[in-house]
Amino acid sequence: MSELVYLAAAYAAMIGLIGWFTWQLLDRLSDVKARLDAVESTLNENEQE
Amino acid sequence: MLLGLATAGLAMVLGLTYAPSMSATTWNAPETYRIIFWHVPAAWTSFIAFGMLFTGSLAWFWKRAEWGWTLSGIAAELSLLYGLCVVISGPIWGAAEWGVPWDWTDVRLNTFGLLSALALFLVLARRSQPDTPEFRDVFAGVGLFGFLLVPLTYMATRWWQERHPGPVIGGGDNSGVDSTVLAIWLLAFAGMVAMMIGQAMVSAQVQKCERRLAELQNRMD
Repeated sequence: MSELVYLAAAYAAMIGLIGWFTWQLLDRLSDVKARLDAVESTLNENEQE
Repeated sequence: MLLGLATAGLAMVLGLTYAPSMSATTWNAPETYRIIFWHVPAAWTSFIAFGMLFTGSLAWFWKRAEWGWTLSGIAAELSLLYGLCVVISGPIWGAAEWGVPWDWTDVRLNTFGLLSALALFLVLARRSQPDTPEFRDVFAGVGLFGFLLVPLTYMATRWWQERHPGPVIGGGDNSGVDSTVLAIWLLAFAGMVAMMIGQAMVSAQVQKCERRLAELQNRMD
């Protein structure tokens, strides 16, 4: 196999790992923030009633 | 995070284009060596993450500090991420240079592999087990004793150098590295550390929101 294939595979794997990890972290943050907002607004409505 | 990514990306481009070429007479794969411009800084960054895991585990074990528990969880994920970068890129280089991806007799390879496996165990355990004081103690204990592998991994190529290249910084009279290579390593390392700090901050924010969500759900119940 060409040396450049090894080089490309290694960098693609590292970039992919770091990119996937960062993406799922940001996705988790937006998901938990959305759930938090929903719970807080439900609680506020209940307190007003 | 973006600044770190841009800096590490710049270092990668410099490593691929500007860094000196290796001699084809002394290396079997003189171009594939350019993997080291991320492989080595990722290893240094993973050592910082394992240091954070040790600090967090110690703070939980010794002081029952909540921040220690949070830090150890963040650090376990980051240790796994940067450890995997090393464990995946290393064998690719090994396959090109040595003809085999792994050498089970090389202590450096095996201790680093064990470290990454330990980080994987901690991440999976934290996601699958209920959060009880007993589980936190076991998690912190594994994090504390697992850290012993870090100095062992660092010193492995000094004590038992087999297949993995020997130390190039502080390794005695025969060690040393080209100043351009060192500069690119340090640039990539700075970028990865900045990226890791950004990831740790986002992860801390996730954990804070999850704690608040659990509190509110308890109130609703």
